[in-house]
Amino acid sequence: MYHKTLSYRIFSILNNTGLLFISLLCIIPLVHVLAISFSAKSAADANIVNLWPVDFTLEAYRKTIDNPIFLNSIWISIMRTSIGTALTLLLAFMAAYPLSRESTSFKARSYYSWIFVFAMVFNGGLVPFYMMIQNLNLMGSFWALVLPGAVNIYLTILMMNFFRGIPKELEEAAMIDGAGHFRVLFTIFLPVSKPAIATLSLFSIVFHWNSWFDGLLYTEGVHQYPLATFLQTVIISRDMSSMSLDPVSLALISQKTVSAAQIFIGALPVLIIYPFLQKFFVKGLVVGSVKE
Amino acid sequence: MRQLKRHWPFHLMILPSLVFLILFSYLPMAGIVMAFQDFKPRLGITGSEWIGLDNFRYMFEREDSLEVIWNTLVIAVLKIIFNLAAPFTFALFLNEVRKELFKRYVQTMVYLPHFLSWVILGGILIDILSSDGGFVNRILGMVGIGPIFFLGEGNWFRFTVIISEVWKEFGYGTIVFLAALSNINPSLYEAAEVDGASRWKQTLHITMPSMVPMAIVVGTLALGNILNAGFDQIFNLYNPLVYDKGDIIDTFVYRTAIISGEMGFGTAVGLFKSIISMILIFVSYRMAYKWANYRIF
Amino acid sequence: MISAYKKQLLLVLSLILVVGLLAACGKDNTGTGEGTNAGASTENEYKEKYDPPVTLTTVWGVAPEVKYKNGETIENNVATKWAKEQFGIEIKSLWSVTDTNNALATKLRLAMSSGQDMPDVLVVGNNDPQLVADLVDSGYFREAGDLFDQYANDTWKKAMELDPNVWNPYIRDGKKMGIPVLDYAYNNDYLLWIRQDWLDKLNMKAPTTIAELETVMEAFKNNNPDGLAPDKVTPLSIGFKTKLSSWMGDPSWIFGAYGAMPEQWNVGTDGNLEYGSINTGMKQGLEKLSEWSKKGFIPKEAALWDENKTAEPAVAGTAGIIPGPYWMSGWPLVDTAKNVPTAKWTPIALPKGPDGKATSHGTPFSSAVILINKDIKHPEALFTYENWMFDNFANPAKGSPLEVGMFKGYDYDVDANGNTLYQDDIPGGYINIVRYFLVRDGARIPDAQMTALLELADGKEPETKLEKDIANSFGKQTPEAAKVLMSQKDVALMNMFTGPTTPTMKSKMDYLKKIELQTFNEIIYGTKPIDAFDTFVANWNKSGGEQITKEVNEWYASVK
Repeated sequence: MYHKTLSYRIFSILNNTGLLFISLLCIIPLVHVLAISFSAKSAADANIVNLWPVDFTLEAYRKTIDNPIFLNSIWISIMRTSIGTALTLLLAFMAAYPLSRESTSFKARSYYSWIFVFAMVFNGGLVPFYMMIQNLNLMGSFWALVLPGAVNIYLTILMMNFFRGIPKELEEAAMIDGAGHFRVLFTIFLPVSKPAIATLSLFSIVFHWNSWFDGLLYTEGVHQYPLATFLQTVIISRDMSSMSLDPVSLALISQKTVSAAQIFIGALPVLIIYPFLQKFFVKGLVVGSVKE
Repeated sequence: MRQLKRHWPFHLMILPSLVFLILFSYLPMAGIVMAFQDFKPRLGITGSEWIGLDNFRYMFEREDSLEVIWNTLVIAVLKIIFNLAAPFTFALFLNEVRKELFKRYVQTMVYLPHFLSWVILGGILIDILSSDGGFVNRILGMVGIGPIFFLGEGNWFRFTVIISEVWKEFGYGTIVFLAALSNINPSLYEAAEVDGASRWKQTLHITMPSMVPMAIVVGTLALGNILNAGFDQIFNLYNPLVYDKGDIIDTFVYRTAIISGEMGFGTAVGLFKSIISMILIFVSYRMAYKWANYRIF
Repeated sequence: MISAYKKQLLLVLSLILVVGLLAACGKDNTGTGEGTNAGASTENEYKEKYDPPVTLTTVWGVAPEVKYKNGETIENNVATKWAKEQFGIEIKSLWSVTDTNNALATKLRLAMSSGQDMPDVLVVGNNDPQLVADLVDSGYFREAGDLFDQYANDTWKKAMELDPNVWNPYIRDGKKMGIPVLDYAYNNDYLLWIRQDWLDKLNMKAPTTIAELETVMEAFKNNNPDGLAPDKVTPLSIGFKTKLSSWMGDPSWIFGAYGAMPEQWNVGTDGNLEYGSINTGMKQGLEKLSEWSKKGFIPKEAALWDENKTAEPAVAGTAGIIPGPYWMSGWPLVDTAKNVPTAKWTPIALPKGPDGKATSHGTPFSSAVILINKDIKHPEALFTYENWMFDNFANPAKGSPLEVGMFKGYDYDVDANGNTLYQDDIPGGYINIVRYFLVRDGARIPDAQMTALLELADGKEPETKLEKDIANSFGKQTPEAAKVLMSQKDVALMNMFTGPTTPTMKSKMDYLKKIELQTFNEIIYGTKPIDAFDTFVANWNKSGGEQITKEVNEWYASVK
């Protein structure tokens, strides 16, 4: 067994140490944000908070929890993410099946896949898109956040490539038993695609959770904003040179500690979901189900 | 007709996606004509004046056009390469971790930076990279290097932009390769073990080949970003000292749009970028098919 | 085989066609409702209160810091309810957007492009001159000057007369196409804030010239009274990441000491407008800055610092001087004492250059514009609303019903003992109600705030509403700073070009700004010799600057 050799053990120790170091490097900024969220405003404004709170206080979290718009935006984000992801995955799952056929067995697949790729690369810009949303009567509706991004071409192509890795024998066996394509897709492909579905769900969840521009343009105001849009409007540094400035407004704008708390709470759901999805990355799931 | 009869489930499966694509991609593509218009919001797409290639001419006739396009290409190409290489390598190393819990811990931690926006990270980077007592320069100072003005010197700026991007995204990019690894048949390893292949040999002949198709797909699709060097990042980090090495197409379009409000110009630049991307994707698609007999999509 | 291909292709194409047609039908159905309500001719009689109520539609670009309580929204809140009760005016919102990332401008342009209805009353900031010009020239909005003459009351008219130039950006063929929204004067004029406790410990006097300023900075750095090591001190906290002339912590006044004011159009010696950044005074300013950068008087990374960043060392107590507006004592400097208890900031006048000159950038008297839809049914209702605001809200005197505030429980409250509560003491939090009004900031008379400040600076007890506001939330040293500002009143130079973006500006200005900032930074950081300035000026003129200057002066001649 290779992992019992001395050289591999040494490698293993070095490898683990290296990975630990890199993982620490990656959480430093988040720790910094977290430290700011627990610090006093005066310390945060002076930029003297590093990785540990200065003058510990929960004030920022109290203000965050007290803000009905923030809480509402989390709810909208959860809704859009769950519905959007379900829709995206269903569409990708179905479209990827015919696309994963060999050209010899399904000629039209090449046309279709270029239709997909072309749509991924070219776009008409904001103006016609906005008109489309308006003409479909989606302006100010929740569905304006879900439907336009429902087809995720990138994920469809990934799914297609996963399908190609599924052994032909599985499908052929089912076909001999008289199953149609829909049945093959939902009874044979679905169970063995768990790792793929977990991966694509994660991508889709992150995509929906982080999208903010649509929330800004296709809603009718702050009460319809998803979380990402809300956060974007809070943390962005604004060009204030020509707005009417006064210390009262500026004090309200520059709430570094509150923004930090909101950023942290806002990132929490997607951070928690990842370890949960990891358990689907089980090795050899696909191949293991082939009876040889 | 016989074809259709046999293939109707295929068409039916694609149909829902197709409807969405037509509604939200293909019909709005009519807007591409704005690239050839002096677009005025009040007049709309049907009423604005046609000006031929003037929008494109403007993009290429600025004194700094070449510089900006070159900056974009250099930064974007390096990002594409490293954004592919770093997750690929990292997935290989992670694959050697045998303690499942530790593996999951590392996986989750490296995925975190993806969720912080460049507005936040930009501020943090300016602080830790400061040539005036920033953390990194203090460390470098201990070994007698520096101080280095990471964000104020052109070449260092590019270096910083690429490294920080890789740092932010590699953990997220690793996911897709880990998923590919989960597709490997364990019996392959068992067989190699019996043959007495070393772990390195196993990695070389079993692990890596199983990730290559995914790498080709991801890499090809990334070519679509050949002229997107990362607006948010550059916009938050660049400054007058590095305009000559750091100003990219997107930042320049952004500034122009603020001054002139021209929507036609933005569309023209977008069209130019799309055409270049499409050509590259097409070429690499053909190459992958010809040499590796692999259809990416 | 080939026919199979064709059939499949045909199928795809026909699908596209069908869905396309469907979408096109949808388009026709919704596209007909626009622009046909001009025929309605109701009597436009000005009233103090309308019965039955009249409706004014509007859209909102909401600042992100705007807060709500009691489940209210920008569309429906204490101020809109009040408008209905007080005037019989129903304020109907078509949509609102949080105004970051140019969202309001984008949304308005998209709305215009797609033929969405424009509101009766639209208020947009004039910091985006191109958007204002697009809107004014769109044909959606009517002449407003005649309405103003007909309906506005004396208070409003008098306030407007303080600076007739405020109309300039909106004049087309002699017609006033929008009504300027007035703002407090002097708001962004500059002075210096200096650490008085450091000066005292060093036994030094506040600097009045650039030369004295250098001595003080030298002492702050190398002989720091708080015992900070020289490399920990930022004697002068400034930054110029995107601009040389901004709202806090910029270096414009240094050039001002040599008679130049960058990034704006100033009247030259020949009476024509000249772009400030190419004035020869810039050269001396750049030389000075380069010297200060080498000596470590300004932050090493000033090229990376934006406005908020310059405030950080000031709040941390490691900066000695920060330039900025008179109200900085209320924010951000109020927090310095929390980090360094001995710290004390004092406002001083801008130091003079070798010729005895000092210059600050000025503050326009107007911050936004009111545009009135050409199809509006009741333009007089807007004036009913604003006239009242100017008479009652703009500067409530002692004893007025609005003396302590307007909406109880929002901008003020009263406790059980009858004491007035302000700001954080209000149960449920303070609401900056001026953001809720139909017209941005409610109503402001440009000189009212400064008058109030000067009264307070002379030791008067706060009596009027404005005086009380200032005393409650503007910081201790603000009246004192206002006095300093008034003592150097003549130093402020306003940007004299307020017209729409000229054609050459559209195509060249970005490049010109880029080479300007690049050259200046390179000179300051010593990577280019000072002579690079002359090359820059030549380049600037050659690459379109000359043409822009011509266009700007053509506009100037048309409004002069």
